[in-house]
Amino acid sequence: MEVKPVIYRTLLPLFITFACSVVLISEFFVDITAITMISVALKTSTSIIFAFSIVLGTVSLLLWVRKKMITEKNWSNRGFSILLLLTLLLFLVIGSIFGIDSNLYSLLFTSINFPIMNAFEGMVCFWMVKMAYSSWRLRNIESGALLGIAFITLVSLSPWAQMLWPGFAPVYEWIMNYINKPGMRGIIMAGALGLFIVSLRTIFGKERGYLGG
Amino acid sequence: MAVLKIGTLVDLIFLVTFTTLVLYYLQQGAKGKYRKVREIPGVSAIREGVGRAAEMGRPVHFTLGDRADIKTEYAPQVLAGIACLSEIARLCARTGTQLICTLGGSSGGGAEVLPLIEDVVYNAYVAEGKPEDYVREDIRCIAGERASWSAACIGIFYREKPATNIMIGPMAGFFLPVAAMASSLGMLQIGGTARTYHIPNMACLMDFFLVGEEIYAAGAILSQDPAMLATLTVEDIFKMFFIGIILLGSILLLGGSQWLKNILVI
Repeated sequence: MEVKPVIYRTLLPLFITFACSVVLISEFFVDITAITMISVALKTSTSIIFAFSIVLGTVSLLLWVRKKMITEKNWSNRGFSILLLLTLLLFLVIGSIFGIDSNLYSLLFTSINFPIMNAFEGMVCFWMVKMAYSSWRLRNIESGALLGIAFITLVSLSPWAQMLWPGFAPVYEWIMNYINKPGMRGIIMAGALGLFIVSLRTIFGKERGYLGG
Repeated sequence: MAVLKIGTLVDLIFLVTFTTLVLYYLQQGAKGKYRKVREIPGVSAIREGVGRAAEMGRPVHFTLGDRADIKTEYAPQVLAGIACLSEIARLCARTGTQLICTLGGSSGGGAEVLPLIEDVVYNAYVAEGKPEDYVREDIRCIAGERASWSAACIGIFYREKPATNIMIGPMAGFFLPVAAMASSLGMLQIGGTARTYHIPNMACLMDFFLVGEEIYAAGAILSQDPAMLATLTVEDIFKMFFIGIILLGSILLLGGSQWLKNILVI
């Protein structure tokens, strides 16, 4: 077995993970200035790592575009890749020269990014409605209960519900407080326990997915 | 008690107990002693999904979702997704199925998890003795914007026609168009998230889905690592304990006693 790769690839990252975790957990429980300072420094260092990751992401994107340029037969698909590259370059150049707070960069952002984002947000709303509609099927008792509750919730939130029947609001409140909330809390608590287990497995070096399996 | 922060004593006791139990069960698991874990349909479906793609000669699409951010509170969900990906990649390598991973949506475009994903998938192919089948370009880091990630995934579905779509990790709203499009294209869909806001959406869109804590257990179940499986027992022990606390607390509060409530905030 080669000693160096084992130290660099496994032991050192595991030690760093353990040490950092102990410091960050300790910060929650104890009031020692040194620990608070170290944990603040650790949290700040994530921003530096994040900056490196943006370069990595760009390289990954460029690699993918290069592959598309070589293998893609369809010219329209190649065109989209070129458009992607040009947009990336445009934002990079404008941002580097004039700064991201400049009017030109803001204008580009608001005229290209915002409309596309908003269009997509609209699509999300559409899919939500479609999904809700497709899930409302009276097949068995469970789906019937879902349908009933969904109907009451939807109607209760509409502006004319109170005119139709004043009882909609209290029924809606009851559903949210006594059916929805306990169910959600149960899921959150079980999820928190699972999260805790994964964190401890990671701290003790058993979960090594973040080291590349 | 000057060093210990006020209101954290009970939390510390919980942490110490929990950690001790996890260490004990890790040790037991290493000896091969662990409780049998029930079969989770969503986990079994992962194997079926990869098998389906292999039979159809089409790729498998995997994503950690549009909140795959390793530096926030979603990190454990990302790690859980990566643990599943490790086994999915091994299955794909074994069956000769193309595996497409898309990253994006979070503030860094998922780029911070990119090296991990590349390494996990590469190691899985190496473990299966097929490093030459690993294609780096199939691990795609898309963009920081969630809409871009969503649109790119839909584009991949149309162009490369995956047979199975697996989405395990922290999901936000923009996974909806992706999952809905996959559904309309007839792909087998397996999803999992611990974000309670999107669990109902998953239930509507996925053929099989992992609810909350199941995503944390999925990696252990897929890997069948005895030590990892053994730690799941601690989760069950604490679940029982918390149910007991809730019942006791409810009875005490109904009887007018604030004793337990006061104890828990020490």
